[in-house]
Amino acid sequence: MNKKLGKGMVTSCITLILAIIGFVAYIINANTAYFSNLGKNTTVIASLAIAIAALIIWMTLGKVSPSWTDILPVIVPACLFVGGITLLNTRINGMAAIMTFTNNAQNMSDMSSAVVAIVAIIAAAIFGIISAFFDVKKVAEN
Amino acid sequence: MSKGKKISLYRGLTASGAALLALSVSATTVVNDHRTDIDKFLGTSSTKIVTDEDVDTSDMYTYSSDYSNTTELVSAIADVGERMSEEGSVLLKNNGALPLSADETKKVSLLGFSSYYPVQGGDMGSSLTVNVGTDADTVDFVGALTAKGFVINTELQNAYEKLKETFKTEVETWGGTSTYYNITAPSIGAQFTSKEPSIEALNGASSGWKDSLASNNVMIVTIARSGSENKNYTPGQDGVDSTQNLNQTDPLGLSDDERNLIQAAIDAKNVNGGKVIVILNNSSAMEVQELQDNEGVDAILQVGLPGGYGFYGVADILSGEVNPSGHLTDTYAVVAANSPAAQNYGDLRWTNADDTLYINDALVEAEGIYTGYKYYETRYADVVLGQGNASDSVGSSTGSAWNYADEVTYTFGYGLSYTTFEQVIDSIDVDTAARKVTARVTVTNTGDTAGKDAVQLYVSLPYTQYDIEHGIEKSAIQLLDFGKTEILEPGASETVTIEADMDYMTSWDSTASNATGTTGSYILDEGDYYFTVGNGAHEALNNVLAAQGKTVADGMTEEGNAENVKIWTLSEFDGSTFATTKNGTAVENQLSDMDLNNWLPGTVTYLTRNDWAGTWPKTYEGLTATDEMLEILDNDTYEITANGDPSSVVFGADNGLKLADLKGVTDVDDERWDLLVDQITLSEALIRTGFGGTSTKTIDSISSPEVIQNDGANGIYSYPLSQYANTDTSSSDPCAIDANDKNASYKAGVMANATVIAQTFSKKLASEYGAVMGNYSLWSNLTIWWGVSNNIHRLPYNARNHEYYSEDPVLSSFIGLAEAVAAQKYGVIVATKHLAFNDTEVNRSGVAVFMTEQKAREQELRATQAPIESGKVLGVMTAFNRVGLTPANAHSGLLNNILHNEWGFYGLMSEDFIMDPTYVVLKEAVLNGVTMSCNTGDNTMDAVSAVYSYWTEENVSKDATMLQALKNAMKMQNYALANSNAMDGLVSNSRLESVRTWYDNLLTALSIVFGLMVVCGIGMYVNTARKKED
Repeated sequence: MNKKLGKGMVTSCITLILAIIGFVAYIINANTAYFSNLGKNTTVIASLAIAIAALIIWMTLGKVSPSWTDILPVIVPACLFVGGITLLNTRINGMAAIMTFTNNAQNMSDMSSAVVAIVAIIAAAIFGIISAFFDVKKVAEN
Repeated sequence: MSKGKKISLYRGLTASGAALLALSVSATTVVNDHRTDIDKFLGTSSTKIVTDEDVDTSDMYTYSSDYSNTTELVSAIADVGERMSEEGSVLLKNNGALPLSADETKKVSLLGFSSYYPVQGGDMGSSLTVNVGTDADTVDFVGALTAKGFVINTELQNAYEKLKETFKTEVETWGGTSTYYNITAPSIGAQFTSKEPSIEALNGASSGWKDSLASNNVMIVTIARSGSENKNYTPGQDGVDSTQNLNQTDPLGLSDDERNLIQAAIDAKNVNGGKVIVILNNSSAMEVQELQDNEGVDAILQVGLPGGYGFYGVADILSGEVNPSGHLTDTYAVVAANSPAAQNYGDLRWTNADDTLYINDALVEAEGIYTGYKYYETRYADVVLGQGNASDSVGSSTGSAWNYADEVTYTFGYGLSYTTFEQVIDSIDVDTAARKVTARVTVTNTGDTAGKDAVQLYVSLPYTQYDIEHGIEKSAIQLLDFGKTEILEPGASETVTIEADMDYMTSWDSTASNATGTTGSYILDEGDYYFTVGNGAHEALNNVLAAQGKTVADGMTEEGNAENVKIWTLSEFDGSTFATTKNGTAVENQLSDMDLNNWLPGTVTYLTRNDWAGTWPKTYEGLTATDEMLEILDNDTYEITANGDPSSVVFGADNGLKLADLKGVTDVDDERWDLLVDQITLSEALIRTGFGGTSTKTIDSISSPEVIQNDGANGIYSYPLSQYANTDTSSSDPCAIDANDKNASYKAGVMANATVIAQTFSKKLASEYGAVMGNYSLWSNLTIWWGVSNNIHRLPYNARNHEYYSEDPVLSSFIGLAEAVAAQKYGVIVATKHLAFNDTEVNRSGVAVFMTEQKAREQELRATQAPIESGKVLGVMTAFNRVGLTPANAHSGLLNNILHNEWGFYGLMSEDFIMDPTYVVLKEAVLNGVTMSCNTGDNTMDAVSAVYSYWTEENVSKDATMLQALKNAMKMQNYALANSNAMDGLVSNSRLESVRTWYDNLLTALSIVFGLMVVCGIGMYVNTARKKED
């Protein structure tokens, strides 16, 4: 039996990359002058951490379905959506202020990492949904 | 399909369902946190007022409109808008070219792209709301001229139309990109870029445009500079896009493309005859000495930002249908950057700045009281009087001895007419006990055209040795009050009586002993007080100088009229009469912490007329805050602790009252107020102060309704007329509208900008403006109006000047007062903004503003004093900036002691749009009478405590001081609501009920569907997995 990479591995890799980008961008954003006073949201961090961990485990174990690991691709996009929407919720007031009453180059720069984080996390969630339809490893019959 | 693929499919479906369920549940949280803003955006409502049918509703509606339908309403607004520009446009120069003859109106060439794309409102803030398809559609310049029968050169018009895309500016905004074809103001730190097409560009668009001027030889050239919130003009060459190479030395000066265009018009006139008229479409004073000097320019008309109907008025001035009667609200300097105030402007960072704490800039207003005309005219007086080293070259535009004629193009208060007037002061009656100066001025039309005339009453205070020794500054001339005649036919006269408030001619003496046993009081020096009138501050000052025996031989620019001066002599220094305010509160220093020298001794040298050269402001930048200062700059100045007797502060009582029971109760001492406020729970008080946003929110325990806030200075424009209007025409609401009303989409951000309103020098017209907005408030159910913007023009470079009236506090204050008093008759909660010292848009969130208390009280605070103290407005908005080191929302001297105690303010006080909880300084703000922040969130303690960690019931309930402050805030805010038209539609029986909106139902439905999807996916997955294993 030859093991080959399934389509799910490709989309999972994209999901993972986007999720990590989103996570890093969030951490950067949480340390900007404009947003640092809001602190780091535990829901966002926990959601992203769970999603990334679940994704890595699923990709690494690569078990053939059915398997207990099938719960992992279900968890991933759900957690990413929770993290992404929660992040949006914590940033929306500040972004509204920056785009209107407190618009300047520094605040726009501070906001850009929030935008990157939100977009990347939501995109990761969408790719996560797609990934769930495919196995990360393909089983070939000899 | 193989079972393996089916398993993958069902796993994918389960994941999809779970993800979408997570999305919909998370979105529900977002919706709850931002419900009121979502409702405003979608036009939905999450609460409703329910009144039982069998109760007496005879007193349900307190206020009534002057109009019977919306057609009358919007027509009245349009009428005021037109007349505002008729009286608020300022004729600066006229060699007889204006007015145009009837024949000349038929051959008009409009030059300059701003003729076709004028600035009618701010880029942001006091922006024009364009109304189409209503009974009062807004118009631009071309539309107004055409409607008034002018005939426009179409060859030229088509040429500009071809170049339209070159005028475009795109600005990223919340929710998208805004595209402007009019000129825009530069963003903070950006440079001004001219969009005026070059002659070559015009030639490219039309080979015959110059030829077309021959038969259309009335050439009107429009030059524009925009205004905007959160934007700024950087002074001098640094503020101009250097890559353009247009020989523009200042963003408020002319570029070569503008010069060349004007010259092209002059050249055409020299060949074909005709006229060259320049329209200045601006709100910040421009540098236009070259236009004044240019003999080829026949006339200059400053029209401000005329709003949606103002160009009708401008057209009537051009045609002579109306005689201009506007006067400038600001000094037009030759080089604005040479003023003392300009020496400290821009991004002046602390060396130990910390943006996370909003510690960014320090703005030291070392010029003292000498801004605008108070600088130019006072220095001129001292040149004539030969005192104070006034002739020194410092601040000179020529580099040689300072000379008034080289520095000022048009003075404050200046304006021409098509006729001539003579003003004679018949009498001046000074009644110190009544704190009144009554002036009777007879105005006679000595020309041959009917028109109105503004009466500007000025006073010159004695500048004494005491002042010099105690650091008190005196402007050589200052506006005390003003009035305006009705239309005077040629030869006709009218006596205008002005009852001026003497409070506005006192001086703040920080050293004076006072009734409280401390220092700081308003004083009148002993000596001669000169009262006079004039077409602007300069003419008035010349009268005073003439009365003091000075002539052209002494260096005056022209002879004054000593006979038009009345002298009142105070024999003894008066430090007691004005030591208490109108409500009897003893005054004392409240803002000494605004003097940087109190923190960094010897740092600042304030400008004094005793030595212009020796005290000329240096630029204070690179300042370092000490540890002591940083303790205040870190914003956290109050710690919630156990104190007092918390049990004595009642929350959540059951007294059976509703807010409607106190409808119209103006006596704050009425015992029912405390009984009502006792009913509010602590959590309600904590949530309502912590989360305000763009409206007051409902308070269930007293049935306090949501009340909507609205900008702005050019009219109520935040929402369309119908969004909150009562569309139940069968109700007893006298201002209900049909859902299909033709004017349902109308927005009232259509008035000319604030400078034009003030340029009318007409309290009557300002009052009419307030009245039509009051009526609009009734029909639209939009109650809170941030309509009186009283920050002063410290410099023309603040691009937000368009939202503020003037460089002069008295003009600002009394125009604002007239607006406010009129609007309040219709139940509007008129709110002034911004309290206080909001003098720059550069780093306005956190900028530490320093000045002397004399400047603070006599300039900025005086500009907003009358609407609050005399007008009893029910709303105030605080500011983004710091008052000295302290956030404006946390300054007790300003908020508690001056605003509430000295001026007697009682009502709703909102923060500006501060989103960062650190800088909201909620606990400090509530202690100082702020009743709501602009932050938003869900209507739960968890939500508010998540934003402000200290704002919990457990924490606050031990602090009796804070508990009482919360109750005070609730009482003040609901007092304002109870005395407004927000209570129309409510009676004692009325109650608030929650409403599930369509989007609530949608989210719930989606959650159910996605939940079922998960369940089905899991079921199919398990079933298929079992089969596969079997």
